[in-house]
Amino acid sequence: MEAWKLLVNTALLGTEKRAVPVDLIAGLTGLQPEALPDAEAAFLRSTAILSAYRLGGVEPLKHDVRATPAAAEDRPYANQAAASVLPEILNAGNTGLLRFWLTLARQRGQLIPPQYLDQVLDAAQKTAALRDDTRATAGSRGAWLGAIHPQWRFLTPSTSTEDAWETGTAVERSAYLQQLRHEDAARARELLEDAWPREGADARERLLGTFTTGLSPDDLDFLERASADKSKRVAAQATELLMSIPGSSIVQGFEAWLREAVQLQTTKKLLGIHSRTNVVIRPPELRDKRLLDAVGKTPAGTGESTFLLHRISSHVPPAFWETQLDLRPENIQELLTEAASEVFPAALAEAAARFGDRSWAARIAASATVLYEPMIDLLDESVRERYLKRIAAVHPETVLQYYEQHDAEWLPDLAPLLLPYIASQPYQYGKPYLNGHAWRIPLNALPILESVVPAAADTRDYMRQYTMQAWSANRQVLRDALELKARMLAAFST
Amino acid sequence: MRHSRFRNYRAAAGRPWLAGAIMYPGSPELESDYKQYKKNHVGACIVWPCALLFLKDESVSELLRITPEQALAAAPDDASKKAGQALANPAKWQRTGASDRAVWGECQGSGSTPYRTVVEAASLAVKCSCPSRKFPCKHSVGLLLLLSRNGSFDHDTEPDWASEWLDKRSEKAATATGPKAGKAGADTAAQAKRSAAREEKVAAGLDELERWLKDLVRSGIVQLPEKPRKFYDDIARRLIDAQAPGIARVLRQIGELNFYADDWQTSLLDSIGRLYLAIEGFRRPELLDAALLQDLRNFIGFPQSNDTLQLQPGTTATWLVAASRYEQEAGLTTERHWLLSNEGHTALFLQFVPFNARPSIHLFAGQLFEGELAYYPAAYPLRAGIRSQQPIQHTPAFPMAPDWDAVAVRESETRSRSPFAGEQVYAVAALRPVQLSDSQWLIEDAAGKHMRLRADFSSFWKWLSISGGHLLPTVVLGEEHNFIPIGLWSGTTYIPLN
Repeated sequence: MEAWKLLVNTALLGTEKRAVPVDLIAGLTGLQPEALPDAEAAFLRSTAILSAYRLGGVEPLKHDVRATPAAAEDRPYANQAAASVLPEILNAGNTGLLRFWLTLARQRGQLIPPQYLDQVLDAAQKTAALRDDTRATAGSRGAWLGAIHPQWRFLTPSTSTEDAWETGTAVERSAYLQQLRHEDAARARELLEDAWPREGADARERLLGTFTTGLSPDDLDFLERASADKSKRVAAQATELLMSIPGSSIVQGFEAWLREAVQLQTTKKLLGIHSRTNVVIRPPELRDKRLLDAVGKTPAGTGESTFLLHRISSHVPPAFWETQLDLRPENIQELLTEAASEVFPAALAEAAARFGDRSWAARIAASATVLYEPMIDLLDESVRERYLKRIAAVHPETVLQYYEQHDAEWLPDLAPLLLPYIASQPYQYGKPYLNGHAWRIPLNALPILESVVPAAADTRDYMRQYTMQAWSANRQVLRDALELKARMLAAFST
Repeated sequence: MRHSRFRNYRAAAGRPWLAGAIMYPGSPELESDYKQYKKNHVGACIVWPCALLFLKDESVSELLRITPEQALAAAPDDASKKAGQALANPAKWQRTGASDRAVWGECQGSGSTPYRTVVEAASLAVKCSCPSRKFPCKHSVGLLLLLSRNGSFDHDTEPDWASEWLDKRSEKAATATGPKAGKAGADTAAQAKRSAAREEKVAAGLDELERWLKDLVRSGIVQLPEKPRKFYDDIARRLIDAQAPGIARVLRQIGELNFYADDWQTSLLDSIGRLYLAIEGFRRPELLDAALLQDLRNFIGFPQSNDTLQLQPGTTATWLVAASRYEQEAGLTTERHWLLSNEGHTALFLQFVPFNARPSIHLFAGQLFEGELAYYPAAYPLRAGIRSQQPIQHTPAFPMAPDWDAVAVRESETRSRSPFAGEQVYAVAALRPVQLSDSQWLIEDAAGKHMRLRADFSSFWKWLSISGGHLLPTVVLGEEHNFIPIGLWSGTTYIPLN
């Protein structure tokens, strides 16, 4: 409005310097501000009149813009009961339970209800672990929001194409290669081989690192060449990778060393009636430079020969022992453990995990007294269950640690074994831990919570009292969280 | 200027609700509220504030619409929240039920007899037989939480202990709404003297304001962005001393303008225009009709008496609390609740609650109730008092303006009746967010016309998430071309936005 602009200009500079456009205002409104000797009064009157005039004749604007609403959803929203649990989880800031909610929704092909969507997206922006599930349950509305709000960019799925390989940044290229190793390891190897001569040492090391995924004997040739690379770090990395491929030069070198080091000995006793077989370990000196580099330096606090034996044995497929010692596997395990208990069966477990030997893993799990985490994934369900239960009864803290590293709920039978330990360490397993990990704890823990007593750790009365008190508080925290979990499961199963 | 009330300050020490009245001379609403508060506080009835804005979702009861967040928000502290959550277990409640006016339950405690809790639906007042000193006690929180999750309790006849209390409450409410005749008499002479003195004070204050405005205008407003807040606070304080708190509020708002925004000059000049209208209008009241004069005096900050209000005709309808805003200033919370009726009325309910006191009427955004309101007399009636509240029987449809053109027509009407009208609330049938540029969004209607989205809108992403950019029935607040959405309907549910 022109008259208003004139008025504003007058106001900015002040009536001392600018005349008030009274005539213009009078002409516009038909109202004559009384002629006053005082320029300020005239200005104030004009302002009052023109402001009221302007506000009284408002019309909507018409800009030349196009609305771009979100696309329709192709999946249903989560039901009311499930939606009502969300605000309680979000208020409590419980990311573990939020992730559980999102995975339940994702499994059923359901979406986050729109009225809570912005809060869930904010939570996912802060906690990277939530992003994948959020992306899967935010629907087309989520993708729409991700395109508008820079902080929610993680919602638009990043499909890295081969373009990323050609023209992307270092991070993008290794992300692409990693993804490709999952899908088509051979192609990934081809790409890397082609680009190998042109890459710098840093890039070679980083890209080679992606080969831990999908490692197979097909990579052997390439890696053997890479292990002779002029950059020490690249060579070391390639060697490390070779140590996990049966049939590689390194592994064969290890096997040769072991053939010398570990031998069967049959001794006759008692006038030749009894004969006992046992294993004798006489580790020879390791001379091959390549193998020495592969093994690395002995860490402080460990004997050199023990370290050598462990490192080498854990990089040799367990099947080797069967051919070498020509005995049944159970006997092998027994004898080796007898001969060097500080090395076996830990090294065998590691080797079983590394080379994917399921039968050896099962065999070791049947008799082990300690938890060997890497090989647990190779075990069948029933074997795994028995193993975990057996260890949980004796070393609950290792089982807890295992679960902390893995994305899984506890097996139901473990609850009565692990909870007393948690109760006995109220500081370590306090409110933040319980809230964060409550989603793992099976619901059969709820009815037994009242009767859980801290595993007797300390005999001092005051410590026992303190522990009991702290556990009472923690127990309530756990109960609240488990009740939320129960409601969630009930809501999603209707 | 010495104020008589300050002498009573030391006498009021230890009575926090009175301190509010002391620190804010010129808030007689406060004094009458305080007296009302004292009356309500007698007896075992305990009322609590259902605080703040939360999303309403559809897990509500037919009788009493409350969401889990609102139930939890009622708890006075975290410990009560937890205790309430623990008691939200149906196993703990031996008997729950609902009637037309209340919900109740019997909760087994540590003693032999169960504790009895009853909640009156319309007012959310609660009574519990437990000995807890906290209010509301954990049983009430638990009962409400249970109700919010269940949706409703079984309809049943009210137990005696619940009926007794509920009957007593409705009696008290009926007698409280009668006009207060007792105030007449010996006070009138003194009152007349006080009124005359006030008129003089206000006139003097407005003279001073005129001088201040002229100085401002003479030297030019270009220097204003550099002025400190004190520049406005000083003159605001003088106007408070002159018993013109409404004017002081406008001055403070000028001081809080964002001088980096594009159009600060227009907002500033609009406020100055209104202030000058008030000055000139007060000097020549004979030129104004009664309604406009009333508006003028309201704008200046003359109290609107409850007595006059009680003589006004009532407006009975189903009301929705579209938005609630809370301002806190040194021990006093000012609640502003915007209400829409199913017959197209708009009302603004103000409540002044001193710190530590409990409000007498409990409203939360998204609440629905049937009730009678009475508008304070004005050229454009907006501010109202609530005479009665009852639980709703069913959710009505709310009439809405079809598009921005219709809103513009209503805006013109409003401002032609009263130039002192500030921001207004409108329910519009279909609105959606549309981006104009990196820094500016628009609110678009079904006809493709726009209003600007104000920069101070804090629930932007919530609005975008719920609407997905689609047209939805929305309630907006604003004036001229600048609005913010304060709530919208998603399906049949009304969701307030902060």
